[in-house]
Amino acid sequence: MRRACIPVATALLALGVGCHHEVEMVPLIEKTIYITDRFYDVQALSTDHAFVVGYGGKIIETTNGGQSWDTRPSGVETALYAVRFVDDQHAWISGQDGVILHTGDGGKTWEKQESNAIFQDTDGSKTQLYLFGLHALDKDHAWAVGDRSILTSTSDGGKTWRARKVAMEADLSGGESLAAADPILYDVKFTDPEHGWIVGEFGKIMHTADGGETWHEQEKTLMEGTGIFDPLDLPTLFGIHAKSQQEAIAAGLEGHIARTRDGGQRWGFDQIEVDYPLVDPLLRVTELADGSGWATGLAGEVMRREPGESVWHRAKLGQDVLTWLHGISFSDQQHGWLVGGYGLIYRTTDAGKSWLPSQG
Amino acid sequence: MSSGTTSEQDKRALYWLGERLIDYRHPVMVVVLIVTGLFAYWSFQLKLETSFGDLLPQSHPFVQTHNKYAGTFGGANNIQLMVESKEGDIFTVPTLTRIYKITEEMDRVYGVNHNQIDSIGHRTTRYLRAQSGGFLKAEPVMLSVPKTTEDATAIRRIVHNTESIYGILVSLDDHAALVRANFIEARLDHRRTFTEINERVIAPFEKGWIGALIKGTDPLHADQPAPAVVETLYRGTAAADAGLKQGDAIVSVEGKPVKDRVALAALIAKYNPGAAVTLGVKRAGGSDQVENVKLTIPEPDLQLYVAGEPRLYGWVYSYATDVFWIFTVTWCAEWILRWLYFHDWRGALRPSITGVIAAFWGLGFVHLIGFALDPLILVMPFLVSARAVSHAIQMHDRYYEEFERHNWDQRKAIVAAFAELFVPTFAGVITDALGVLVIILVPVVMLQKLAVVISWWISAITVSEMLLNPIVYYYLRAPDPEVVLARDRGWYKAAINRLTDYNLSAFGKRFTLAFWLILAVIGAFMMQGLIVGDPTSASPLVWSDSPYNVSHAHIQDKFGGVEPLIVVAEGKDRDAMKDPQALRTMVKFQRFLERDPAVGYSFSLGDILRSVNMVFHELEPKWGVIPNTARDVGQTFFVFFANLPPTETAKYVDPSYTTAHVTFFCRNHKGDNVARIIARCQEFIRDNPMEKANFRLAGGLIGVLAAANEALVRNDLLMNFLGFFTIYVIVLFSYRSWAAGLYLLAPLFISNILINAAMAYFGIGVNINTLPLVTVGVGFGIDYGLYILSRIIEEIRVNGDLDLSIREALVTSGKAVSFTAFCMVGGTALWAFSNIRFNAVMGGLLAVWMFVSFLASETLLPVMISFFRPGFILREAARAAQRPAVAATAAAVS
Repeated sequence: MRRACIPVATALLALGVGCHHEVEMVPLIEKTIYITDRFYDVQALSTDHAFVVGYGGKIIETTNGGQSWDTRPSGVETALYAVRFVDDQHAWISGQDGVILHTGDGGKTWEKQESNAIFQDTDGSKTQLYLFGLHALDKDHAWAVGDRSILTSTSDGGKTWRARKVAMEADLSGGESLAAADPILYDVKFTDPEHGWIVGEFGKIMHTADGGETWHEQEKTLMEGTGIFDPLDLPTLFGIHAKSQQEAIAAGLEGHIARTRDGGQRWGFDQIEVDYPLVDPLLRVTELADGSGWATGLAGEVMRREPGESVWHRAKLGQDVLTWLHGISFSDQQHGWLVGGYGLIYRTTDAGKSWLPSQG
Repeated sequence: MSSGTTSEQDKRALYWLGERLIDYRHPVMVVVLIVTGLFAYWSFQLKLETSFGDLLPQSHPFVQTHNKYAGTFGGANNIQLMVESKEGDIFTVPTLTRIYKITEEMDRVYGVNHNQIDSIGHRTTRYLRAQSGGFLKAEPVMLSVPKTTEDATAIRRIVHNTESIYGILVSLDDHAALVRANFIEARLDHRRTFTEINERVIAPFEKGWIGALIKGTDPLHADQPAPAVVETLYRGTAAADAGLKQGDAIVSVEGKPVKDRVALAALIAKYNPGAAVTLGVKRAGGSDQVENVKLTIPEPDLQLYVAGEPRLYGWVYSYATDVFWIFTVTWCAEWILRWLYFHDWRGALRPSITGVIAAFWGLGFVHLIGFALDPLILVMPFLVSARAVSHAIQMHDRYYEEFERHNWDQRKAIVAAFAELFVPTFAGVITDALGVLVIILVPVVMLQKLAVVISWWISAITVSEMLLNPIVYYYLRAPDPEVVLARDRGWYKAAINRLTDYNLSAFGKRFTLAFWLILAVIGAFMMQGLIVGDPTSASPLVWSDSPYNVSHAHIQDKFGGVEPLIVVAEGKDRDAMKDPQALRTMVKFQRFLERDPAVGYSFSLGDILRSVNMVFHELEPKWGVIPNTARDVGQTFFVFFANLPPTETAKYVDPSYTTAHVTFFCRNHKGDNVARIIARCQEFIRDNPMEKANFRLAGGLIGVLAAANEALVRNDLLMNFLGFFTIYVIVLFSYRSWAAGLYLLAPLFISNILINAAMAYFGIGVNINTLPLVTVGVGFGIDYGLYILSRIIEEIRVNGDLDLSIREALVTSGKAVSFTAFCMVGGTALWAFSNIRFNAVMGGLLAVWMFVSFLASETLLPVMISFFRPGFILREAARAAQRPAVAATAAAVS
């Protein structure tokens, strides 16, 4: 009988030792959109269908008006700056480190193309250049611009990209010429395979009429009546929108919006009426078919020009947006998108009267 | 004597020792008093403080990383102060002014590392500013207090355009700003920090704010008086309505003199909003005449919340006076209980003597080895004292018993009680002492010191119990025989008798065995949920509705995380931190870990770089990226860091660009979360090697807690095993039996299982604070069993019958055991009233522990002995005839 105490005690010992609770690996949050996301561009393909690109190689797509978003693998981790679909299937994306991505299946898969946007320094070292702006007209023709005045283009659907430096024609003297010799180019728009514009640092507005072979500066007329005497003092232009061969509009530093109605013969700044000064840069600008305009910028600034008017006012988004807003794109008069920092995506379905956030 | 093979000589030796102690009582007494006096002197030198380094396992690689970089990249002792505007955003002149002043005051708090303050009001928080001629300069966001609305708007614009500030130091909704200050560990003085923050940082700008900025002390002439002079007056505020003017000096509030800004704020804060008070004001530039000005106390428009470890400890210290009250109440209650039990004042007094002597020896020793008391482990000394008292009650009860048995011969009774209880008392004390000493194996200095101290303290019980006891009894007049006999007539004795009979009946035995077995199985199942580390998101040290946890939750809510985890990126060479791949990996690391639900946000050199790169390129967000060449990275850093003093840049990267860090701000330090976050870090680091640097884990509160938890996991099982093993070995030697240990350990195992189950159920984690208490508990349960088992052996030698001996033991020693157990359980349960949740919970747990081990010793142990009839007891029956008298007396008593 008393021997029984040993097994009993052993059993108790085993119980006493017990086991420790295992650390539970709570899954990582799987969202498509995080507050740390930075979205640089959006393109609306139809009322409910849109693509957004941003920091960290992020490409997201919605097909239900932003109720849900799906991530599309980009294969890169660098920032993606611009997206351009030419039809349902074909599109390009440009990004940091000379990245060009192409899709032929409506954005489901993206493959890298060799942009050749490389800068070779005097010491022989090579740097992949940033491609900030991209535009494509059809599934063959596309252009991308970026750092150090680089322009790279394709006319064979991206099989080959030909990169070159856009030469500045302004005769600049003195030390400043060094800085201005290869200004950063931020955006490019073509209205047809021959005619297009590029905008960039120091208010550069370059125009081509031969498909991008030769470029002419058009920004000098901007200085008229502004009190700016040195072309290097012109505000950097970050975004351009071209409506036709004649009409284009560009946005840039200190809330400037420049416009031409004659194919660039004359550029002038639009009038802006605000209750408190607009000091932040405007980054992108777009114009709708009815002639109304939108421009986005830092510190949540969104400017709006009503159809038929020439003066810009602050748009009311219906909420307090404090961070930068970048890409803006409308699929029609009523439906549009607005994207920016801190993972912000806004959508309107009433021609911009109200904007509602879309979460992933 | 109790042990089976112990010879009569051994017992005779103890009787002889008892006699000699009485003979030489004067010299023994003098020596004990002198030594006790010395220890008492030292114990009054003792301080209440926490040494942070002592809490960490110093040999753990995380702690080594922490120690190496805490001075530059920030340690675990952060204070986060959130200034929240009740209405509207913070970008108004009065609010920004206060944020600036709050930051300034925070910078002056004792122990703050002046280079590790993050706030939009601090000089080290900078943004890039383009200057004429195309130059860029990193300038503080606020160089001074804003004067105009335009200034405030400009600050708002800077904040919104600086990604390293917006969302990190200013909430995304613009309603709150964060002031984060890091403390130098060697200068942590929790009480001082707590008071200074309350009086100087919070009060003047929250409840003590009247709508005017009052001049503070001039930092250059800190020793000179700085009267409360109105520096700036804001429109539409209480101060303006009251007619105060710039330059007015406020000299009194409701007649009470006001020395400076701090005193003014303290007085104003006492009144409720809406109350009218009279200020004594000396007008600017006027005579010395004091004018009376009526001021209506305004509703505070800002709310300040403070969180972080130093603050938490500040609160804990502020509650430490609770301990005094609990102690006093317990002391009085126990006196009353003992008086009721013994029916005379000697019985009430004697245990106190043991408690006090042991306390002096213990506390004096604490001071001697250069250790201070942490308010969180105050339950420990309390328990040890309770142990001392408990042993003394056993002794006293036995003394009365022997007094009766020896026909009211005091000297004989004293010696007999001494000799008979020597082994169980000594074994009990030594098991406790050695059981606690095993904690020394945990590589945490605080626990090691604690192990030594508690072990010593417990051992000190022997001084009064083994050495002084016979002497004290000899000095005290013998008790009245009537009092002694009365002990056996009360309802208490009757209840014990009845319960014992029931327990030892055939059904009772089966019921008891089944009951404990079922309880053990349920307990073993429940203890699977036991967590290492803190199990709750709020701090488990204080109650969830305590001001600290409320503040913590508010800050968490606005900023998503306040508890830092610092991962160091240690470069293999100079300029490693200019490598784009390293920087991109750091940013990728941030994005990866931020997806863990317990991680709020993060910060790294990469964030600075991206922010600077963007500003450098006319704020175009497309430049907010890590450049692709080391040269571009270097140029960008140069723009930002070139004109900053190295002390300011050191918090981001060392001057040679070799080492930087990624800091994650975590939502809480739940044990599970800490372990998971660290596991995720290790996973990321393994999958994403950097070419020019290595990640090193981990500093900050989360890093060091991870280290502490790991050390505890590694040691918890070992601790339990060694605790039990020590007890087993001591029992083995005391009773010369392999089986005795198993019988005595059974109640302890069950208590251990149940206490772990209770901890799992109530969500109490095993951490640096709870481990010693739980380990101490292992030893504390043993005495009950020892007293009962010894008595059974003692009885069986007399009457030769096992069941009769068991019954005898239960109604004599068992009765004293039950009384001490009730006293201890009642005493520890009082801790439930502590404002320190930790003390309350541990008090509760220990009460449960002692109750369970008492109940198991009183029911399971005798039933097991009766059921299994162990040989080491039965062989004593053979000696039954050798000892006369006791059996007869015992039978008479029952």
